Amino acid sequence: MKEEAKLVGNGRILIVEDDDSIVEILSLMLSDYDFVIAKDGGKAVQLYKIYKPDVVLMDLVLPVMNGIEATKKILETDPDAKIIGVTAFGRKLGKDLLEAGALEIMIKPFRKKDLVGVVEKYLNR
Amino acid sequence: MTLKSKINGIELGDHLCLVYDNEKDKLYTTILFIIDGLKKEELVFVLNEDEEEIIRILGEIIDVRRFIEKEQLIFLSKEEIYLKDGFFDANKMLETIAELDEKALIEGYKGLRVVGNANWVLTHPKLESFLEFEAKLNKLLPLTKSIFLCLFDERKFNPGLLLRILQVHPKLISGKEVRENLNYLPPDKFLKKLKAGNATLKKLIDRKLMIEFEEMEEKFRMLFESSFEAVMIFKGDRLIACNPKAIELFGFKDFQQLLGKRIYDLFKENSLEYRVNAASRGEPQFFELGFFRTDGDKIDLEVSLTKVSDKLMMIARDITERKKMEEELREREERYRLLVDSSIDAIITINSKAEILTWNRGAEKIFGYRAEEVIGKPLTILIPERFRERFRKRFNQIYSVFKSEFEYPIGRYMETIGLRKNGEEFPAEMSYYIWRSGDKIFFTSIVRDISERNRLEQSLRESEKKYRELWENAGDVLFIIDLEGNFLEANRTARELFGYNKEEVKKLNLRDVVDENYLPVIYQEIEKIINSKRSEILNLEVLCYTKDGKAVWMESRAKPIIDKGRIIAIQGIARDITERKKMEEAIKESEEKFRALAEKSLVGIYLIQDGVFKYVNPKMAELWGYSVDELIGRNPLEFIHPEDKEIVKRNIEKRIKGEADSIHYRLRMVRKDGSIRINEVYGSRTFYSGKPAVLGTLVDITDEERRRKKLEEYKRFYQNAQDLFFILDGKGRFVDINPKYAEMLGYSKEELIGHTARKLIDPDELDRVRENFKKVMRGQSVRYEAKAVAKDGRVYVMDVTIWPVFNKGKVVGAEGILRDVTEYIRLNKLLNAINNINKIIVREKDRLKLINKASNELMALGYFTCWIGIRDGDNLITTSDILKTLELKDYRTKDKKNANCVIKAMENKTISFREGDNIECSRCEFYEKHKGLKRYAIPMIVDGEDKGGIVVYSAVNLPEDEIDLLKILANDLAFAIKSIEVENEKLRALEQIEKNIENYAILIDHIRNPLAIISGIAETKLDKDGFEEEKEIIMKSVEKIEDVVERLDKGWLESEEIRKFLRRGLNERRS
Repeated sequence: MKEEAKLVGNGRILIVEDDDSIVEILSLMLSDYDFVIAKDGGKAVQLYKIYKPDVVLMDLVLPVMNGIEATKKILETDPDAKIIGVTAFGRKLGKDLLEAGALEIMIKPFRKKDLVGVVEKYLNR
Repeated sequence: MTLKSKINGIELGDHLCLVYDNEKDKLYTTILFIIDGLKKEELVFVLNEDEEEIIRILGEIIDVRRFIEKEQLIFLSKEEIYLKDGFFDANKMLETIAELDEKALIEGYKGLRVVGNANWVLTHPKLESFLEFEAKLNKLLPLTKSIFLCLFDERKFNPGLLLRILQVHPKLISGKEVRENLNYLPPDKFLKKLKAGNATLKKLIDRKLMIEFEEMEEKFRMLFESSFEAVMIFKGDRLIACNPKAIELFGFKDFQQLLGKRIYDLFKENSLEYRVNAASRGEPQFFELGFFRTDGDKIDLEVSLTKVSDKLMMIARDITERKKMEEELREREERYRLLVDSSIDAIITINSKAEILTWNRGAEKIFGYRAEEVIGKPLTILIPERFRERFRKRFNQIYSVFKSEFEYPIGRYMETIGLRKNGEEFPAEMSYYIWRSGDKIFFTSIVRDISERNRLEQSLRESEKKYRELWENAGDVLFIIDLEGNFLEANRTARELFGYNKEEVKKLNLRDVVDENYLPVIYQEIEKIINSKRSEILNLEVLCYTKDGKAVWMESRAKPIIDKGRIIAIQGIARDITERKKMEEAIKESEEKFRALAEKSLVGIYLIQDGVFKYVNPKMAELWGYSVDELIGRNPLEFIHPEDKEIVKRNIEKRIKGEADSIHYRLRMVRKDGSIRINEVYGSRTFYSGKPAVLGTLVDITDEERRRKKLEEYKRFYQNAQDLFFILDGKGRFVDINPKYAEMLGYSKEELIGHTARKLIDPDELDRVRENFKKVMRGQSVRYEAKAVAKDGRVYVMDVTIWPVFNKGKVVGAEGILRDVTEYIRLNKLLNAINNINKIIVREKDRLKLINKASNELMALGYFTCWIGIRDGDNLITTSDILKTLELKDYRTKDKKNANCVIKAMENKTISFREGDNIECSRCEFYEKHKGLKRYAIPMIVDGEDKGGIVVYSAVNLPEDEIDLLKILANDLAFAIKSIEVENEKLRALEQIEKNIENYAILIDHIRNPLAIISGIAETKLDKDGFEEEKEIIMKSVEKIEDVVERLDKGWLESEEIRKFLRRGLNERRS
């Protein structure tokens, strides 16, 4: 299934974000890629197992399970998971996310080219 | 010539002179002079005259042989007397004459007579010296028995010179007469003149020499002039002739320039005088001489110096070229030898059979063989066995190639392994060259031991690496900056702390990391280093910022890096002291807080460190009767009562050393006014400025002690005056009793006698009392405490002692003493309770819990009912536990109905007391429950601030002492409550700050999210033609807001740090 998806799109992204507006923006910016959306940390962990994305865009503040917890859980199931933190919280909490295992932090508001740049960087190619 | 002839007028001491112009005259006078002397039995010397001729003539007149044999007549050549040492010395000559005079007299002669031919002086270089001698002789001779006759050939001397000679002789011989010399000058005068006239003298001599030269024989001249070698003829020391070769060789223009030159002026050679003298004696001399030509060139000469008749002939050959070559050769050899000998390298020469020919010191050192051990041995002994065969092959190959193909030396270089005498192998660098000498071929090899060099290189590389690693991994921040403040390097710690990578560091300047307020100071310090006014920067505390804007405090030191005497960069070491800075501030704050509290404290507070007071509060100073300044820095022991000094000293030591954390004890101290006070101290071990110290509180308990003593007195009083006596029969019935006792309990004596004590005793204690009575009946004495109940129901605590009364060995009854200890016991128990409350005060940080526990302690005494209220704004509050005890539901006093007594007591700052009903209490719920009891409201006051009150309801009036104790307790509680309130105030402030910080973070988040949406929409939805302008406007605005948020974010980060710090402080306080 993964191989097939790769043939269709440019890459598979799991967007973890509870704010609908942000989700919409992300969808528009990442329209060249395949993606799925999880609105809380718990769903993100489940979807990761099923969807096996190349890259995860992880918000910090989420219902049910926050971004830090979700990041740790995902990394437990797949230590090679590529998780990029997307947060409005400043550097300090961003650092917590990095410590949890995120590879990079995007601080909101983000630019399309920066976002695409980071995604490209971690896509498996 | 006959014997009758003689010279008249000759006297001992005469210095005579004969100037003759023919040989006959001279001989005639000489002979007469000699014969006259011999006749007069004088010793006669004849100097520098023709001995044979004179003997011949004398022989015709006298038996001359006899005189010669007995040595009365002695002939001496001029060399034997005038030039004894090879030259004429005036003073020595005078000495010789004095000696001869003495000798003559010792040998029995009547005197000494000397006749001497003085013509020789013409050729003598030191004519002046001779004239000096003649002049001085005039001083000597009058003191002796000697006569001197000097002979001068008038024809050889020019008139000027003759005049000089005449001036030194007092008398002349003219014919057969001695005459006074009219030209004579006294010696001193003459000598003076002589010095002045030397120049003239020289000219006179020159002319004389010219004549000599012209007398040269022609044939000699021919040979002389055509010689290839330079030939010079000297008369005395002056050149009188030379050949053209000599003129050419010496670089003169013509002979006139050379004529009359002294040999010593021509040749500067120390040994020349010796050579000249030896040659003059007839010993030909061969030697080398240096000569400086008129054109300045030095030429070297090989010279022979020979006596030819009365002259000296010098033949000189120019050997300059040969000398130069010899010199050069020697220098080269010397250089080579020096090189070979001093070289630390081994220099070895081998022949075509590879046998060692030369072996220098370097070789000795490197290989360990001495030259004699290896010369002639094959070179292969210096090569490890395994390489020898290869060497031989190679050597032969090179040898044969060179032999057939090369005319000139060839050189090679290689690295190899050498073998020392001790069998050790070493890496060597070898260069060798092959050269020919004649038809022989030689190899010279220079071997250098490079094991040391290899080792050094290795260790240098290692130490460099080690240093780099150390530098890179040091825990401190290390960096190098140039003199403009540009970073050249920074170690890992530095990069990690500041968040830059290696490449970024190189683009950094101090400006980028240091807070601008600190830059001028740093640049000034660097300036000082550059101007050599300071060798290093010390402990500069600087505020810096990391890449992401975090503020860090760095303590740094720096030193210049000097290359070739010039300062090229600055090396710095720095440490992150941010935490320390924060701590310092926290410490400062806590110190301030401590002071604020301590300054207002009602108990004395002190801090002892290093044996002196580091701090005392005003109360402490007041208690001790000194000012604060008088105590600080003084040793506490100075103030302690002599008898207590030892214990106080031990107690302080115990805590400083950590043997005890806190100690509670009493001591006596002497106040400034000399009064002795008793203090109770409670001191704990603590740390102050990182060192152990004692922090303690101190109260003056002198008055309390006094009360205690008073109590003791009471006790004694009771014992002595109020101890009551009673007698019981075998059944326990009163037989007799002190009537006062009966009265106290409300009975008459008669009412009690014949009855047991049963109705006097608290029913609960009856069994115990019976038990005790049984013991007495069994013959024991007992003592116990028991409650007695008076007729009116009052209870007294009695101290009872009963002992048995015996009759005929049987117990028939008992006697006893009763003591009323009610008040004593009460007071003691109250004191205990207050002590317990004080212990609670130290630990308890919650004021409600505190008053709860305190009131429990008091209630437990069972003396009275009580409650404690705390002022809380306009309310008086208390705890629900207390209310439960009081069976009340609501403790609020907002409606001002309840506990007005406390409000009043607080307002008046004194105890409020009521007995029975009154209007004030009628509406009070508390009082409702305690009607009919006596009510005490004791205000709790600290620093004039009221903190609440203690209310006591008692059936009986409280003794003064108890009221006093309760007042003290009220103040202690007030102080404790205030301390807690101050703490709480702080806690609340900190919590508020924490909350604000949280809100702040959320706020930032709340701005960023919508911002992301706005910018996202602009980027995605407006990303089409016709909307470029709108998109740009939005994006620019977003960026502006982003900037602000970024700054807020940084601020938040800082707040977060502060929050963390505060949180830590709070936790410490809470725990």
